[in-house]
Amino acid sequence: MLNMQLSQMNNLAMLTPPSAIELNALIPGAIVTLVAILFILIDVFHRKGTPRDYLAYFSVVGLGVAAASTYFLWDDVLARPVFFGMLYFDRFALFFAALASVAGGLAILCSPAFLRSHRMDRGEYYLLVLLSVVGMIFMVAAADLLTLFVAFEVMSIPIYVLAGFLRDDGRSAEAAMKYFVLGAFSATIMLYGIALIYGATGTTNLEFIGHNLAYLQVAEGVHAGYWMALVGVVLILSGFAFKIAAVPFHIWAPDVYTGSPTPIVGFMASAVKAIAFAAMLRVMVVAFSFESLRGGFFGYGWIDVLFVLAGASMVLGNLVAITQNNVKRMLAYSSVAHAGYILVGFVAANSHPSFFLHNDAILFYLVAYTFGVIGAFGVLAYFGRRGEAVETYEDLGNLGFKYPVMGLVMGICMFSAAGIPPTAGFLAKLYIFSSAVDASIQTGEFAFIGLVILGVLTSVAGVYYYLKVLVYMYMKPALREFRPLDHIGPKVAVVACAVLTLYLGIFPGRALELSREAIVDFVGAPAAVQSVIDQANPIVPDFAVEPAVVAAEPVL
Amino acid sequence: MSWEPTLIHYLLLSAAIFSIGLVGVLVRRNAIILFMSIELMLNSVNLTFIAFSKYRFDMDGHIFAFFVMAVAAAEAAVALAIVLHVFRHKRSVNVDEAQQLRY
Repeated sequence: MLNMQLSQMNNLAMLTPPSAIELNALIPGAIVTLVAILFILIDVFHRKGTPRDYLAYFSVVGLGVAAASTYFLWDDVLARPVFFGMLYFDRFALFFAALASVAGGLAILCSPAFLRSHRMDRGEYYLLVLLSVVGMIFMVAAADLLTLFVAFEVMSIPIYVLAGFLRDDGRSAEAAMKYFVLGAFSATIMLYGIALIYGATGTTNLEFIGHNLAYLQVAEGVHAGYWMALVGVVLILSGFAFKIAAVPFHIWAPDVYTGSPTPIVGFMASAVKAIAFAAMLRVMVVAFSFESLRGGFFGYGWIDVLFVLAGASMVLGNLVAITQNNVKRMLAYSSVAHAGYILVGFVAANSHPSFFLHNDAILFYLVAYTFGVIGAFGVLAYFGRRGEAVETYEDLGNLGFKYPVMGLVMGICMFSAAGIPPTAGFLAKLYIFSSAVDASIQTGEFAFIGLVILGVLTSVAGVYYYLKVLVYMYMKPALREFRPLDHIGPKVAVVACAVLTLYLGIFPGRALELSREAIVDFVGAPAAVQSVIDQANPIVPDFAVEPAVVAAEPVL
Repeated sequence: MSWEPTLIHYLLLSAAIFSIGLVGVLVRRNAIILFMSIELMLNSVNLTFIAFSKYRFDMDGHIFAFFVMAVAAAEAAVALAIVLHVFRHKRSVNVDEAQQLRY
């Protein structure tokens, strides 16, 4: 009886006929895919022994066009899922499509000279980055656990390959193996969670999962299917926690970051984390946000799980980063700590539907963090010549005076990561923590204030190891000579990152506006969240109104 | 006396296979065996999907299982390449010997 009702409801809504306008949803992803396919063709005609820089520039242009296309699509979004409930085409997805494309482009710019020095100047490298970006673009747009899982793997598998791309380097091989074993393991656990959710609700569509879970609970009380769904939620959450490298799912991060090619580490630390956060937000809000599953302040829901993860990531990430001597390992632990800060905002903004709009702080943080981290790894890639790369703090000695631009960029990125004004990192932390305090005051729960205090204290600890980089760069003698990879690519990329980090720190208005628009145009939210969104966005534009077409007779 | 397997039997079987794969990943040290264990876990998930799909007269689970198979094939290709890569450097596929990156 219940099953029949549910499946009938699913079928009716799925039968909304597709229209040509839905094809717009594919444009950013299609551009990147097209560039990737052209790439394979161009690479066939490559003359041996000549540099492949033009392939890098070509893919940067392609990613730039994809990012620019989101600007032109910004007003063409649809307020319903497209392609029979498989994808969303909203500003939230476009925002992250642009972020992923930009991050991929910056990482690619850092790469050509680095690869040449490692004798791995291959076209496949750029192709794999492009394919990973395609996976990211579709992952944030996923409206169904099937699309989510496939996009998740399309994003991950190229990065497993890229981690082991330096063929002559045993450490790169080791990094790839560690990343792959743990990544595939966590993806499988997530998949088992998806299977349990499917079993409990009879559908893989996020919105129907949300409806059906709430219905299951109302109709039959807490019964076996509900418990099965609860296990499924925890398993899916652990898959996301692995990708964002939150404690205790962070074990892979330091080793993989140390061994992988440096430009790829920047991509991994920024885009993969940002996209995993975005997809987690979508899945958790759309499918699993009804009250008893959500929990909040130790009501034992997924909010409480993330609450503990946030605290643990901030403390462990910062404290362990202090003890590191290798700069890339330090940045790995610092990325764990940043996952913790973002989780503070995530937990606070989703603890109650009325705080949903606070999620714009997360979006701003992810943008700020992306530029900061790619800039830092770009500088390391610039000094990453094979066999004489910068590894430890001592290696950084006097680099700041010898290479003033790189020193300045590193300084700005470290200031941003530490949260010192006037950089983007400061404002990002401010917005995250103030949204948590706001949530705390409005609900009268002091748990979030506790988390904020923990966050501020641990970020003070973070200042120590971020400034240690600058102390070595400007106040310690050089131990050895470096021959930096003198190439225009990394210079342009890191200077762009530094300029953007400063710009966002001084003029955050436009970026905040964009993240606000992205979060206000979040499609698929359940009714409680939707009413909050509607209050913020009272005038529904014409293009969003489409009559719901219901098929005359149920098929099947 | 006739006996027919029902949903719960399939779920128990797939949970058992999943656990065997999970324990395999945790205790075995040969990289190839690790990947085999992960494949075992993926296939137990497929069994779960198909069992639920059959139980609910809904085709979504069948389709999901096909996608999982395709992804598993892609993962296997990458996995074997990575193991080969590691073997070329270390002359061994024992994951305990992959210690170059610690500290």
